[in-house]
Amino acid sequence: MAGGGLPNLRDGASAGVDQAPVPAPAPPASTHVEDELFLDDGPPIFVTRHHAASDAGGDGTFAVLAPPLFEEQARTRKVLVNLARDLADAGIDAVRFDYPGTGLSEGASDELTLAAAAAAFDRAIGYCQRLGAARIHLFGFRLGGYLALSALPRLPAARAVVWEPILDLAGYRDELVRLERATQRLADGEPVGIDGNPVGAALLAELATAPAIDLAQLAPLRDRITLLCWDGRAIQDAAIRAGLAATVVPDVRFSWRHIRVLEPRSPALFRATIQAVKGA
Amino acid sequence: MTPRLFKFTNVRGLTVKGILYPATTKPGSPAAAGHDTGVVYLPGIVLGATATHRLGIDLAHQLARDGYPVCLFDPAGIGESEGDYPAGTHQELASWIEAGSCVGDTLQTIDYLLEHAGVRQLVLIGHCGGALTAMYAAARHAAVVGVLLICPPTVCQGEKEALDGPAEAAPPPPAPVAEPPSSSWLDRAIRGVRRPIDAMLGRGHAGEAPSRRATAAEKAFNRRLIEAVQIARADGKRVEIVVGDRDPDVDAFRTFQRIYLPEGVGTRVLDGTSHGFVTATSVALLFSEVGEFMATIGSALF
Repeated sequence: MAGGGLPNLRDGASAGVDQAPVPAPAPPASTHVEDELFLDDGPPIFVTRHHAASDAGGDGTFAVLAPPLFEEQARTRKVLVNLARDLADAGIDAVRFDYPGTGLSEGASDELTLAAAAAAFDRAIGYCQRLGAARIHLFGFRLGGYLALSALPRLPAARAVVWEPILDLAGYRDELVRLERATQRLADGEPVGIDGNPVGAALLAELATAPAIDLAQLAPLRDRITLLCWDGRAIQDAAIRAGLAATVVPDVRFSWRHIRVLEPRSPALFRATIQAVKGA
Repeated sequence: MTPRLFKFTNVRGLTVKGILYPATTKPGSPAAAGHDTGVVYLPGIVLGATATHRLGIDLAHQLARDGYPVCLFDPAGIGESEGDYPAGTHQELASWIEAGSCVGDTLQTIDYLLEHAGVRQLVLIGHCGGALTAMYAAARHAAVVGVLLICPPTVCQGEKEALDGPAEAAPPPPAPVAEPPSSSWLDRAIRGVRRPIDAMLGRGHAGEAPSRRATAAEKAFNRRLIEAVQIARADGKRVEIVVGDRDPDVDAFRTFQRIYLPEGVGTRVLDGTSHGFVTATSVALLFSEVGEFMATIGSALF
């Protein structure tokens, strides 16, 4: 900003107000057909259907994308929007949703329960069924991965593709609470929620007592499960011990943990995900 | 009342998506009286409308109960909208916002709301980088009557060290700014608001050396923000800035306030409040401040 005359803010073009120092990639012409709505067969939840591209040879396959929770969701929202768009470009109808009290869904975050989150996942699946889906696959990231793996046994034709799934919700709860206690100290000790999200006692209790996912018990479903990870080897090691395949994807820069680096898409991760959803 | 989802195509051909929370007060109630004023909330950085523990959504519910329709939207490249923001570090993306990358879609969203939301005028409320976008846009759109900046980054990305550095490290005085040869009312108005700044910076006056502190400040502070505030005030728009006392940039803000803010800009430093408003108390303080600010909109104070 040093040097030079002041830009005239009334004349944006000449002032360069809309010009970024880091040029954004040139956007392609819009080819996306998307329906945004609130599912009203329960507490209103925000849903977006990304229609399979008409020229992509779609065969009625749908994928339901279950997101992470709270700030993990906000930090990675654009990535999941873009994954849904890439799935649609590859001929797969993609349906995203937000849990009640999170994202763009209605409700208060301190009223969210684990049961309500799982119910929202089921409602999104039901939405796909009402649209006439020929087959429905599940995608989940972090908490969404837990929900996808939990739902898989009762959906015999589905595949589950999960990114960095949380396998132990009690451990996840302890991690969140520990982080929150550190934040509280910085913020003068006032009781608050997780990353500023008010969290109800019911959700914390459910997380503490939810059964951990034992990957070994999912071994019979190994042909229908793809685990993708990049943050560490813990998931991969657990999968190998259980006889499941897990892939460590290179060159993934974004994180659900922080916003020190942000990227709107991750090509290698998206490729692996789309291949897995397609069963390729 | 379930909010309304909307979308439009921006000037670059990309779909911009947003959500509108209608006023929920009953027609004819005191809260609804005279509220042809809408609110647009702009979150920080590039995480979109749900960012920072849904602060904007919670605020939208409160303001809707007070009778104001409230809009949140994702500029192209962000969140639900089409396009991609450039991958980068937090600082690089803060620079992308600071450069005004989201202003065009903000202005187009304001136009959309004027046409489709039944409002006659708008207040912009922005948090962090969203505060910069709000201020830049407020200076450029006649329908914006007020702007509330929450924790705006007053120092340019990468320039904080220049402000914090020792006085002897101050750079040499900058060259005088050449005024454009124009006699339009607009240029005269802009020159009018620049002069006090230039005087404080010791710029544009032969033989008068700038102070080291002022030179460092000139390098460090966001001059586009300064000018946007000046223009908005010159147009009679209400401007208020709210900062938390635990915000890491609160000291820079106080310097900014002392050197640059023109008369009539309200400021408030909230006790026990961090940049992210992570406590229920700090959120309550903020919402109270927003409520008081909204109550002044449309009054005859300016």
